[in-house]
Amino acid sequence: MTFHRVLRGVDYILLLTVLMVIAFSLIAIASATHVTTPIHVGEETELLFGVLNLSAMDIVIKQMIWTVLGVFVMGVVLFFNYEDWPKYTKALYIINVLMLLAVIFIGKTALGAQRWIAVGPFVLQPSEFAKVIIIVTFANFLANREGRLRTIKELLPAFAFIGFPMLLILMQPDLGTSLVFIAIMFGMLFMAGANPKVLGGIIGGGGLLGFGWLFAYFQNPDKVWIPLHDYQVDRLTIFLNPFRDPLGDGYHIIQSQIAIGSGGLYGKGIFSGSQNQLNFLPEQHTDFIFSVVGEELGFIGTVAVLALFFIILYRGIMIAAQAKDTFGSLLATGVVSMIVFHVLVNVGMTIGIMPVTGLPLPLFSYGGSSMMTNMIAIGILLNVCARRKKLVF
Amino acid sequence: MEQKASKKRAKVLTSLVFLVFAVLVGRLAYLQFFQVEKFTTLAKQNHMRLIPIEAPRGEMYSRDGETKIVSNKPVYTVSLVYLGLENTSQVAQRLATLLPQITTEEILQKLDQQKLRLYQPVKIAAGVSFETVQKIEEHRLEMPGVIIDVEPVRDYPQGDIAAQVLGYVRQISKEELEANKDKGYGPNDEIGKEGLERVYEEYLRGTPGARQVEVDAQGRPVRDLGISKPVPGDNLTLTLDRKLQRTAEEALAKQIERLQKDPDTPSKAGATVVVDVNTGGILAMANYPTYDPDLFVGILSTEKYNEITKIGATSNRAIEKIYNPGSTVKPLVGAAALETEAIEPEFTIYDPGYFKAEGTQKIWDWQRRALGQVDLYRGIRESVNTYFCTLGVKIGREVMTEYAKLFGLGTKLGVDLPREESGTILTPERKYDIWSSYLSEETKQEMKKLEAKYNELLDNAETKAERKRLQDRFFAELNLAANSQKEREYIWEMEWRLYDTAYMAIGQGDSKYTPLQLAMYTSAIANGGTLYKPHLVKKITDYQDKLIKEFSGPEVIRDTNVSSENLAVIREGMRQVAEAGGTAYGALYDLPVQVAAKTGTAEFNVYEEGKVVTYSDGIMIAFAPADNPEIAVATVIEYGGSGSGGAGPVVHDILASYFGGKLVDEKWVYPAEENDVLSENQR
Repeated sequence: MTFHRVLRGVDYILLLTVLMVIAFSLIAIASATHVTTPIHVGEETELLFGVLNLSAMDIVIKQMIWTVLGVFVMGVVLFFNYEDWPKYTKALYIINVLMLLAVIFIGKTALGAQRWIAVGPFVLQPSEFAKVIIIVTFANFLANREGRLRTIKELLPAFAFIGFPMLLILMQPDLGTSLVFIAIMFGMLFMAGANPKVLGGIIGGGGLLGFGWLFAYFQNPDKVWIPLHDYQVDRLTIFLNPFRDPLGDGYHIIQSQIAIGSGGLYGKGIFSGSQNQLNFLPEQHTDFIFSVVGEELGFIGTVAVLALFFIILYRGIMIAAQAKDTFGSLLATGVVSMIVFHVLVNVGMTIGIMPVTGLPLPLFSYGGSSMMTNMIAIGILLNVCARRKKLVF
Repeated sequence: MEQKASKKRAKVLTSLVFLVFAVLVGRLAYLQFFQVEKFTTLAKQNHMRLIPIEAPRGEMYSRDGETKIVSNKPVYTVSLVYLGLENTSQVAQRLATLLPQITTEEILQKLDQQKLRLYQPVKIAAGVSFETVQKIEEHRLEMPGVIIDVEPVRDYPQGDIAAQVLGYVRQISKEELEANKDKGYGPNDEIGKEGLERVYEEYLRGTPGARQVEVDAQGRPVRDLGISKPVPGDNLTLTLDRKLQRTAEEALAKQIERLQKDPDTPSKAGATVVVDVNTGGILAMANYPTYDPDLFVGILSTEKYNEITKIGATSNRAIEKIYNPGSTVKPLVGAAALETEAIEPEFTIYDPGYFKAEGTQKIWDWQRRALGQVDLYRGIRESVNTYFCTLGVKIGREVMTEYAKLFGLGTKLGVDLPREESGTILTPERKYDIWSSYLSEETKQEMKKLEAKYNELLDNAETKAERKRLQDRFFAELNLAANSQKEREYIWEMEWRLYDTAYMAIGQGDSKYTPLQLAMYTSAIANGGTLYKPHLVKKITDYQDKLIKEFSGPEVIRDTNVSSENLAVIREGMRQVAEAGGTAYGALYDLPVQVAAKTGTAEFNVYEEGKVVTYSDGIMIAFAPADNPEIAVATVIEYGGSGSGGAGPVVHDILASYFGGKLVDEKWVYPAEENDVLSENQR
């Protein structure tokens, strides 16, 4: 396949939408890291609003650099024909497991969890890359088992395939990312032709079991064992009633909803949200970046962001549907599943309908590993698209 | 993969994604359309702060309207904002090491008390020294949420005078905050706790201002949004005379210290009140022991507070404590006897040296000898018990009670201070209750039965004689129930006896009055029979000197309607008290003005090491000049021994200061012997 043909096959609507999301995110990050300098009360002090300080600017510049790197990586992914990838999947799976083990044994601890390993001057978050690796390896795994996914018994190897790396991530502990694995798995299984009734049954049954377990735990916290720390349980359930601990666990959720709710239809204007600018909103350039949009650009802003994501996902599904082969279709489905789950959980968290799990908003939250992962994912979509059977769009 | 199935699944996936987005957009619409107002308010509460600016409290001026007794001075205060940070307790700990007077627990407790108003600064300490402020500034970065401010606190330019009258100001308590919640008090506000500060709180307080600022999540102000200036409180011009007040306090202190040297007069406390006889304005109200009101400014340690309350220094004895008046009631009994026409001024008795009533022991004259012919003047001048016992029995208990009340004794006078006591006038019912309480349980049971039986009979009784007969029978039957001689004595005492009437006439027994009541009664005699309402504030002006309220015309409680001729007789008797031959002559003879006075000695028994020891409070009432009275004084010295020797020197110095004379100390060392001759050291 020629260079020219690849470029001609690229889904430019998807690419453009992705770049728009990133551009949007850079503005939001600039606003989120915008520093408001305290004044001394009682003195006639000039209004010091609107001063961007250097370290804050750093973050926007860093994210731009990550974007450039991301576009580069995306290009690289685009040009290595995905049809050649299956031969590397075994190695990828092993590397993935090794990286995750490395996190557990030599990883850096932050906020009660080990998620990072240092590679030279860089700090990497292997669980981010694990998501993409699992999409690629699982797509190959499923493509080879096409038509043999009818019964639960036939599904068991698939569960084991995903379950092992997922367990390693759960041990970090990183509940959010492990849930992403589940989303990816079910999305891909569905697309691979697994019986929807069986899948639905498993999801429903698993959900019921999970809720039942949690419920039993709350009834009798001393006797019922749960594979989570107390603080994890608290953080998982606080969104149901954030005012249980308004200054502790519930603080993020409350402040985020205040930010979004007070934004109204048009928002308070970029750089003008009191919740954001005065730092009532926590982690506003990473996990809660969507709240900044909600506060400063209002309903119009939030719907615009969601619309852009919807376009990306819609194009992703179309790519999956139009893919040349099952492997390509599953790759695209994995990416779509990953992104939609991230959007649901992250945005859901900011508006109080999902627990706080620390999942970033793809392409939007500040963070290098996340940006790289998502750009690789987009690269995969473009790759599959460029090699589809016929031009349909 | 089969193309068709794949497309179908893609459609399902699209629908699922669409569903996810529909849920998100739905929730966003709910928050951003329907809950905008709620969240806008919450956001404002987050970042808009009203920082109250305390209004300087109104000041208090001496009678002259120029000398400040209470004013304000600026001091540093340290406040802390709870930032919802986990390290608040660390900050509190840090702060506690820099503020020696307060512990970490106390700081956290203060924060806790204000949970309702999170993010509002909580005042931790006022009156913080400049050095401490500097230290805090040096460590500012390690202590987020600490705010240093300058605010006005109380200052006492005249030093420690009139502490109990002025009262003090402290941070509002939870209960007070609850009680005053519709008056705009905040948990950091100060409120007048005692004295004039408490009574005139609404005037003195002023209107607090506020600065609206925008703050960040750390509570740091980022923008000034506006200010409303505080309005200072109104100023009080008091009736108190700074100089006279000072003299009164010093005289009390010196006299009590002098008395303490004598084991017979182990005095620890006393009070004196000086009033303007023509207005009821209080010129001086002094107490001993006393304290420096400056103690209540800034940080007050518990030990220091306990120290002054333990000795009773915060008590305004002049209005809060009640005393047996002793012989100082004799002029009143005289006036009552004249007014009810029980006697003429010339009414004379032959005094054998004692009064004897109804088979009881003799009530002796303090002179303990036959005095011969005694008329009203001599009776007052030499404080003759026999004469007044005779008058008392002549006019009876009811008349004496009526006149006591008429002159404001045993009733609340409505002075503009908190905690005024009403005093008590002994009644037969009260005497019955007092003595019956000493009876044994069995006898009490019996008494209750008898009471039930005889109350019914008494209700049906028709004639006075019949009632008397039933009462006698009641006591006779109760007497039979008694199981000891001692109890029979108590039962005897349960009845009102003529003896009690006689006792009442010389100010012994269980009728007790405040020093202020004695002063007001004295001034009513002095001014020709008008009982004015005692007060401490002459006028109230706002901070720009505009008149808010003036108490120009004196407020009359009542006109006693005792004829001026009769009062003139009493005044003449009292004038003679301060003349040669009078009981107060020794104490007051050298004053440059004619004084009218009356001494009083009120005995009481104290158990000391198993023995009954008798001590006396020394009381003196006086007014001057005798012919055209201006001021009246009442002084009570606990354990003072006698009226003249105990209270006399205090009255002397007050009058000397007012009319220009030498103080006791400037005169000579007080000659105890000379005084003994004339004092009523025994009755």
